[in-house]
Amino acid sequence: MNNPQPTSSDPEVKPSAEGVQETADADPTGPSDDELVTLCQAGDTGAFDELVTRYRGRVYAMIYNMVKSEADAWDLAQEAFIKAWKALPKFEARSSFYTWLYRISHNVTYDWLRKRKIQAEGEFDEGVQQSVDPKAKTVPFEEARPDEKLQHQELRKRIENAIDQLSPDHRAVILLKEVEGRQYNEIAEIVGISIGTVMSRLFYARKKLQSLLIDVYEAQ
Amino acid sequence: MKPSEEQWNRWLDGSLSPEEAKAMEAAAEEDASLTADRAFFRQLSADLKETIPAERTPPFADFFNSHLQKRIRDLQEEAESAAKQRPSWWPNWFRLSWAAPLAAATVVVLTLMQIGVIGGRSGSQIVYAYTPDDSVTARTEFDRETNAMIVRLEGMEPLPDGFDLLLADADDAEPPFLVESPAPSQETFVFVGPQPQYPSDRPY
Repeated sequence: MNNPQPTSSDPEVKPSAEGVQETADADPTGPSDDELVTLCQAGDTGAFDELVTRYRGRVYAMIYNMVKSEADAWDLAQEAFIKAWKALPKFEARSSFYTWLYRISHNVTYDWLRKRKIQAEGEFDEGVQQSVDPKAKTVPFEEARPDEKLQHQELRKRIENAIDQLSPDHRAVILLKEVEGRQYNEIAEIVGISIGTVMSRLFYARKKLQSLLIDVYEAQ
Repeated sequence: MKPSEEQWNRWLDGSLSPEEAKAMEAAAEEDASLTADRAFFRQLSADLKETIPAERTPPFADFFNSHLQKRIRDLQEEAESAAKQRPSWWPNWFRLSWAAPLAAATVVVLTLMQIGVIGGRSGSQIVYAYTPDDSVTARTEFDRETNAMIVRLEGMEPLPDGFDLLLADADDAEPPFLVESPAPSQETFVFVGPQPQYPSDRPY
């Protein structure tokens, strides 16, 4: 029987400085995801409501981290759950419900981004091998004096800006790995790519972040 | 030793095999950039988790759920409305639900013809039963006691307990009905006629 909560590989929820965190701790004595899914497949909308409550925080966060708009993330999260409801009769539990839901959420978000044609400037092209010198100087988001110590809020802003400069392909894998704590095979399943491609995108995303943020950490 | 992209990722994530980890440590002793990479990403990884929450409460969280429930009800009503609007001239046929995997390969298409009287009552008579699967044959017979047409399927695999057949009349205003499975048998009786109660909130 699957655990009623997300997989053990998921990170503990970290409190947000903005207080927007929502825990997904399910009642350990409550029904498992599998049990709720079975009820949903029999038409129990109450069971589906329970699943929504369980995972809306994670789905909304994942989408928000990609689109950076509360209103759009809200709408897209709704679409993801509606698609999940429609597809539940065909869900065969080959993966956990959580991973399956995440796959749907990712596809909804990706389709929306593709339509919006959001492109990061100066993004890596995986078809072109680029050699990135991690020690190369980059233009910082804000001009900082060498003697000025970056505050926590400034670091946060720099990290967020660096993530925003990643293409959706790279942003998705780095967030799933670093923020969600997903395993490589889970990322591959959610995004719909091979593990080799996960490794490649992760490598370039990490190198890109390193090139954008190396000055921040060297200054500390 | 220059690690591959996968080895580099796995080394940062601490998921190399003991042998590979030992080789990477040896390489790091000779290449300071590898050591610097690991230190950098350990700090960045911690900062990413601190900066970017894995969960966020959607605005108006209660409304998020209630709005979804409303949309689902709307979808169900649309499906029921569409089912009732099929034209009356559409020939009656009974569709077997594919809910059970064993029945997935079995289709029985019954063509009915409206006739004047059957056993004293007007209704339909099955004039042809077709099964695309050659291993399955369908025979029909009328049972006067129950005033029901019985479709006998032969050649199907034994049905497991709990296997349910959902039948729908495309041209009938009444909702489709659920047939309780008989004991596992090589023959399956599908009763077309008086039916048990159908769960009205079934989404499909």
